[in-house]
Amino acid sequence: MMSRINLFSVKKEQNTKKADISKLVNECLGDKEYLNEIVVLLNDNIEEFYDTTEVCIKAKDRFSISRGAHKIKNGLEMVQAHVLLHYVDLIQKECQHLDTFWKIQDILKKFKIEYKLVQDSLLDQINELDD
Amino acid sequence: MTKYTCVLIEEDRMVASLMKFRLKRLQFEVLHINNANRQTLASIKADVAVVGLHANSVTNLETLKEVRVAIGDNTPLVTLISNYRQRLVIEHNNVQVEAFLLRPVNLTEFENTIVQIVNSKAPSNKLLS
Repeated sequence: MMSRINLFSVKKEQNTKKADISKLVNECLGDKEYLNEIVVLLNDNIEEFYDTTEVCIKAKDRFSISRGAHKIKNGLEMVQAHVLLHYVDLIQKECQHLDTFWKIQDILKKFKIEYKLVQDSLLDQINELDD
Repeated sequence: MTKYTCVLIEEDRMVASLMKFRLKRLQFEVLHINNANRQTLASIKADVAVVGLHANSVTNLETLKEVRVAIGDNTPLVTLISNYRQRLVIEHNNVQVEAFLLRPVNLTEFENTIVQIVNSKAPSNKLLS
């Protein structure tokens, strides 16, 4: 009897990482302590972005929101957090329109949920590094 | 061991921290300054200065001119730019810049540039890369 392969059951190996520190590990020359320092700086920047955005939504200042979003892009690129970068792009696009602050608020909510997952992923990856 | 001083003017704390980390390995003392405390620059005697410019800022040229005046003509200046047009604007305005590096900065290239500049300035005290 001829055996059949169900093509739909063949799963591709997917990259399920929320972030990837491999590039950063190279830049830091594998220094684990220093990697932790960089993650602390990233957290500070993100906290600052949350505060700025919340205040600017109330003040209806879309230019400052866009500027704040731009500032965190580089840090997110360093840890290759692509979903978060996508949210940042969405926020910046919404800032080009008038009266879309409720949408920005909504994206920010999603950003915060995703960032928690990214944080966990970063810490896991750092812990997995050999001493 | 010879110690060199590098003044780093960069708003992005993460980029500044990475640069600081790499330069410290090369016997550099790195003084990180942000735009708010730029007036302290004149009192520092540095071997090299690094200035990070940003794409959306309208005060880039003024910043660079101000830094050049503060550090004097003898201190080499390395500028981090976001696009090639920034370099053209700086060159057209005759601001003396020893090297340009395009963002996102490749840190190995950054290290090599700094070492090359410091070595060419003080050949008797050569720094190993």
